[in-house]
Amino acid sequence: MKKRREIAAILAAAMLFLCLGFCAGALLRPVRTEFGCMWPAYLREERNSLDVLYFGSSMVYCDVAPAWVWAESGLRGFVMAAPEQTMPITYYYVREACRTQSPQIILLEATGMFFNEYQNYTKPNISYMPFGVNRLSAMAAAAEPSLWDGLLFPLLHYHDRWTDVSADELRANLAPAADPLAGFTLLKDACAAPTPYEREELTADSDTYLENLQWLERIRDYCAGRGITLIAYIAPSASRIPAPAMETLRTDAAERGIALLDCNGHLPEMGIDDDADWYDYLHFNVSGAEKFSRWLGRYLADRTGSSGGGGTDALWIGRLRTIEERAGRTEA
Amino acid sequence: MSFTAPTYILFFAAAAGGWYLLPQRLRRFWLLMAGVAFYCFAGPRFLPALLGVALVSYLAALAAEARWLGKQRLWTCLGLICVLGTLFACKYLTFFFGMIVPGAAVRGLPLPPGLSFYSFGACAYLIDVQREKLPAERDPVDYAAFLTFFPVLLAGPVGRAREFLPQLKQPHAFDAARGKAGALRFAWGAFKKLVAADCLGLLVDAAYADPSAVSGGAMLVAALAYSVQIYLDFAAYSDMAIGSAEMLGLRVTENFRAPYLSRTVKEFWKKWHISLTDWFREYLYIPLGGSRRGKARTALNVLIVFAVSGLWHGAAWTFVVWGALNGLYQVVGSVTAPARQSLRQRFRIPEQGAVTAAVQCVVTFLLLTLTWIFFRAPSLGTAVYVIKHILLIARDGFGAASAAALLPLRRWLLLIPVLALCVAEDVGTVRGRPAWTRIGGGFAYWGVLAALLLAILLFGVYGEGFDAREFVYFRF
Repeated sequence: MKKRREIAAILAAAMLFLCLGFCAGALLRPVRTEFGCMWPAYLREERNSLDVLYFGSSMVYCDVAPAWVWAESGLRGFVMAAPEQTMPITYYYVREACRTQSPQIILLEATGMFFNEYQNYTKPNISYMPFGVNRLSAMAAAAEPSLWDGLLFPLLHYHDRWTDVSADELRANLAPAADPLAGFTLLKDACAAPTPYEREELTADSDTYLENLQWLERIRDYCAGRGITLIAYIAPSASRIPAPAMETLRTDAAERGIALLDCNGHLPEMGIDDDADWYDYLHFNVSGAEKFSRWLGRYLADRTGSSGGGGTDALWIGRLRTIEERAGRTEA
Repeated sequence: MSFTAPTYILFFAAAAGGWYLLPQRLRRFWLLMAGVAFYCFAGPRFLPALLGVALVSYLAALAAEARWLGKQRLWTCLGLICVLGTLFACKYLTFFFGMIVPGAAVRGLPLPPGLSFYSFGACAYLIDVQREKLPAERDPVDYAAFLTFFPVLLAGPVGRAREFLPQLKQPHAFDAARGKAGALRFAWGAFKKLVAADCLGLLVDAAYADPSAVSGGAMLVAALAYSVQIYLDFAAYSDMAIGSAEMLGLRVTENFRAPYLSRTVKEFWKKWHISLTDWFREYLYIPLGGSRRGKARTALNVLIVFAVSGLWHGAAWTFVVWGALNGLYQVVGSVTAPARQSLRQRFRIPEQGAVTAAVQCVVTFLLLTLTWIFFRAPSLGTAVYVIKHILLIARDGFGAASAAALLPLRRWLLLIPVLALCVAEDVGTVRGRPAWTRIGGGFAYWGVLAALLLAILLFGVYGEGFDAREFVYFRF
């Protein structure tokens, strides 16, 4: 009897410890409202209400505004990109995202094919994922072992924030809000016209690239299994993938039956003004993002046979109004 | 490997698992291997020093007891010379050579971690065998297991073979009650270290990094905070060492008994770093004559002991001054004791009154804080500057804003309940009922343990944004 009581006490204390620890970790985690990893906001979207999901790196969340894509195509979407999102993380993002949504199309920005095993943002990329098999798998496949403890028990990563966390942050963490920009990060500044150059560090001659090809195949298979159209694309940027690497990727994608769209060849079509539409060498500012997103919307509408031209969905009309206000197109 | 590193938990689990699960005859060997492995984490290149001290003291004690070549004292002296010679070569060579030849750059040997502690353990063993307080240990594994006992290896308490070796030879079955008490003691130590001491460390480091950049008030706060930090840091280490040993069913001597609740510096030294103070009393102060040769000689003996104690802490003038000041306090305290007593009688101040005790405790704490300034400062010049800076509060004002800026507001607020808990622990210790003995079993015990761990994880100073903080006494 005494032994049972002791075991019950141990279990109760362990549960209390874990519950309070996880709650504290979740409350202290910085609120994420831009720059990708938008899981809390994504999970606020109505189930099965999205047609397109966008994955990839900052070149997605800075360049693709789902509201403008919707305005051109009627396709409702959400950007589930993350800073320097590596291919294994993309794979588990896709799986996790499809737990609550049934998209027709997944757009994957494919520069991640040339990323290293570990990039610079593993911690936020995985920390904001909901707890579950996909998060644990992403951790095992794509996180530096030194980060595992904090990814398993986030309080270890965020405990020191108790000295400056605000009441607003606590409220936002307790009840995350939906994102009116649907995962898009709006950048206003413009840089001088960037001169295109090739990023020599991006190469297809590495083991990591071969591993990334396997992850791409897994994404393709997963999409095929769920009847999702997978479109891989290379985002427009002045910082280009070297021609040999690009050619290898094009061949490898074609061999695997994956459409690859190099958007850099369509810049004039988009109407990009090099003096006004770039935030930096890699990303569009809001003006460039609008042009690119509307072009992408038209492309998707053509490709899917969508009626295009937005619609009467009040949520998306509101989102379009919000982004236009924030972009300074209309008065708030 | 620090006690606060997650790897220590894994290491300890393996060590304890082997200790309890292996056959009795293999356990001491397992404990020795655990000690060696633990030391290798601190630096495998220092292992020869540890094993060398163990081998020399083991053989010297055997030789002394057997009176090889008809000599006893010779072997003990040889053993002591070898052990203390190693300590001198590693720790003091540069310091003393610098005194003899000012400006000469002599690089001593690198200081093996914990050498000051285990070499004193070995010396105590040699002298005890010489004095026939215990027989020389025949089993080299047992003796090495004592000297390399990992919970106390790097920062004490200074081990005594006469207390430890008999325990090693007894059979050890796992005792759940002792295991639980040890775990709670360990968790309490981790809490004191990571939540209290290291938080104060942030404040102290910020002020001492550039004393001229903060106000006199801030420096005063930092000096007071350091007095508390070093106590909590070292007491936390001792708690974790004693807790670890307790979980293995072994008893290690207590190292602190609420020292800051002392009414005199002399009383403080009976309660601070007890294992080292006892060592100096038994093996230095009493052989020097103790208090048996008149007041002047007693005073001289006290000064010698504390100067040596200062040097034990580090080969620097700051430590010598720290030790000498502590010795001086005690000499002056003894000399003025009758006068102070008659003053209290004249003004009818009750000797045992709460107010008298409180005032004496505060005065003692302030006197000690002055000595800790020398202990903490990187040089005598800095220490003197800090003291001047504090004294100039009268002219320049306290500078409360500068003091407040040493820590974020929420950390200041956290310190209030945390330090209150630590004071409550000390009051409990003085009353003979330390906090960890008062927690019952069942839900209360596990609840307290879970709360301590949660508080450590949430409020502890660790991880990104903080420099990993070693225990202060690791460097000695």
